[in-house]
Amino acid sequence: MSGCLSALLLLSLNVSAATGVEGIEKRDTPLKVGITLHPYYSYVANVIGDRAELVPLVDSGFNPHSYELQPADLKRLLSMDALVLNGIGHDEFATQAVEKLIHSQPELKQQLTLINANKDVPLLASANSRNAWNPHTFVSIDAAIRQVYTIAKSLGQLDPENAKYFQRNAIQYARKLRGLKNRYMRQLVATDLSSIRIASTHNAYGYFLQEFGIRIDTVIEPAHGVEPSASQLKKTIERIRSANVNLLFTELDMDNRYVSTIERATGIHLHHFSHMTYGDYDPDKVYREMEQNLKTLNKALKQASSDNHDAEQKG
Amino acid sequence: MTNSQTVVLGQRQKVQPLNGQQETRWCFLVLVLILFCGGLGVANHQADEPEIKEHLSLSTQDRSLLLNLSSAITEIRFLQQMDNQWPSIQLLAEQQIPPFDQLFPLSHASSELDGAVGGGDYLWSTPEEGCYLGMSQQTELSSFLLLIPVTERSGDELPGKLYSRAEFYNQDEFYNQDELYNQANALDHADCHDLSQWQLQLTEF
Repeated sequence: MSGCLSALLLLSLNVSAATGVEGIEKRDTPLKVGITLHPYYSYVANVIGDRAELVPLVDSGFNPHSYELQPADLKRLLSMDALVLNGIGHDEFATQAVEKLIHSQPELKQQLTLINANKDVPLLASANSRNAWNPHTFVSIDAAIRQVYTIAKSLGQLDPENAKYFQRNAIQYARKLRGLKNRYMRQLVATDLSSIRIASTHNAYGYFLQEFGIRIDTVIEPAHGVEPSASQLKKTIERIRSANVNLLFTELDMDNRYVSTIERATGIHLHHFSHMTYGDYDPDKVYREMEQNLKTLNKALKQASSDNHDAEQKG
Repeated sequence: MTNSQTVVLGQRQKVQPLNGQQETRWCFLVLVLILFCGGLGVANHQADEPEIKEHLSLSTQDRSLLLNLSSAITEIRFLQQMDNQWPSIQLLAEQQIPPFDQLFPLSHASSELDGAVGGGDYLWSTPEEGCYLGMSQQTELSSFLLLIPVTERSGDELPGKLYSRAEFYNQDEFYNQDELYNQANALDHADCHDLSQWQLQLTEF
């Protein structure tokens, strides 16, 4: 009898040790979290710390605008517990394949949780396409923070024991990003931004510029990742001239051959942003490249503002 | 020539011209049938019209504020769970949580104003627990209302909601700080429940 009671006691102690004092479920193995794009590597790395494993779906060095999943990528996918997606048009190479796989392998649906990082972000419409969202929420600070919080919450639901840890990390990371932005924003307090007009080759900077109260006047590519034709380029040049667009933003890592044509034809100032989806995966990539983008933006806005000021003085 | 041939010659026989008329008619019918089936298929497999989101009609500045507030919900919850009380506007400003960090306190003592602080583009207040109200001070900017339902346990969170309202604010109506003070006092509990004037922009998770 006493043997039976002590066995029962041991069993209940083991159960409570496994579930923790508050009855929180404990995982047997650390969470294995996948990502599709470089910025999400940084977001997840800064949220999970050392309490989960991070697995990029695709080896670094690919172009997300023109990639198709390979068998090696699918093998990695089958080992994941969760996959963090952009989900609004920038990782369709992954979303479409995953949807088909889940449809054909119901057991994968049980094992893999898809995390749509953008589900709580108020999205912008795509510039030149109908019924599409602008998927570049990762080139920003505020939209990045919103996604980091969504990711932390979702991972916390999968790993309740570490939910508070993930949340604290997310808030710390958000503060770090905000501190970075505020440093550069303060430098623009005395700059008149009202008469600055902006064009960009790729529609990637809407969310970023929105944080500074600026909208993009002209987007040159007719659709995501598609180069303009000669007649479309001509119309763009006319538009840039007639709307007095001062600044053209283009990408560091994309070869836009028509940019020099526009520069010659309009005399517009050209600046390069990082699109943040190229190179090696790195937890500090977002911080580093957003700092670079903030520096570039500051320089561009100050230059355009002073050019406008000079033009007004002469006029 | 035989007699049977003569009998045949007496009958009328219609000879169709060898111009493919009959084949053309059949082809045309099959074509119409294919097009009809194709048309039915296209009509029945239209992609769903995406839901028109309300926030798309907001200005750039309003959208930026909406995004900041959607993140602020998470931070407010975090502070509430840590301190076991809803953070005041002052605390949110000290924690540098946008958009609350873009303000300075009014000249009146903050206790008289029940924590309402303002300056710049918005007048922020918390008329009730879990209710954060930002009244726009500029005609072109919308006002915002953030409602986070109060729950007993952290596991039973109900989603917070973000509302906006376009304002046609006449700055000439307010001549001095006392007028602003009166407006702040007029922000009573009814504003957190009377949602008829507000447009829902976002629901948390």
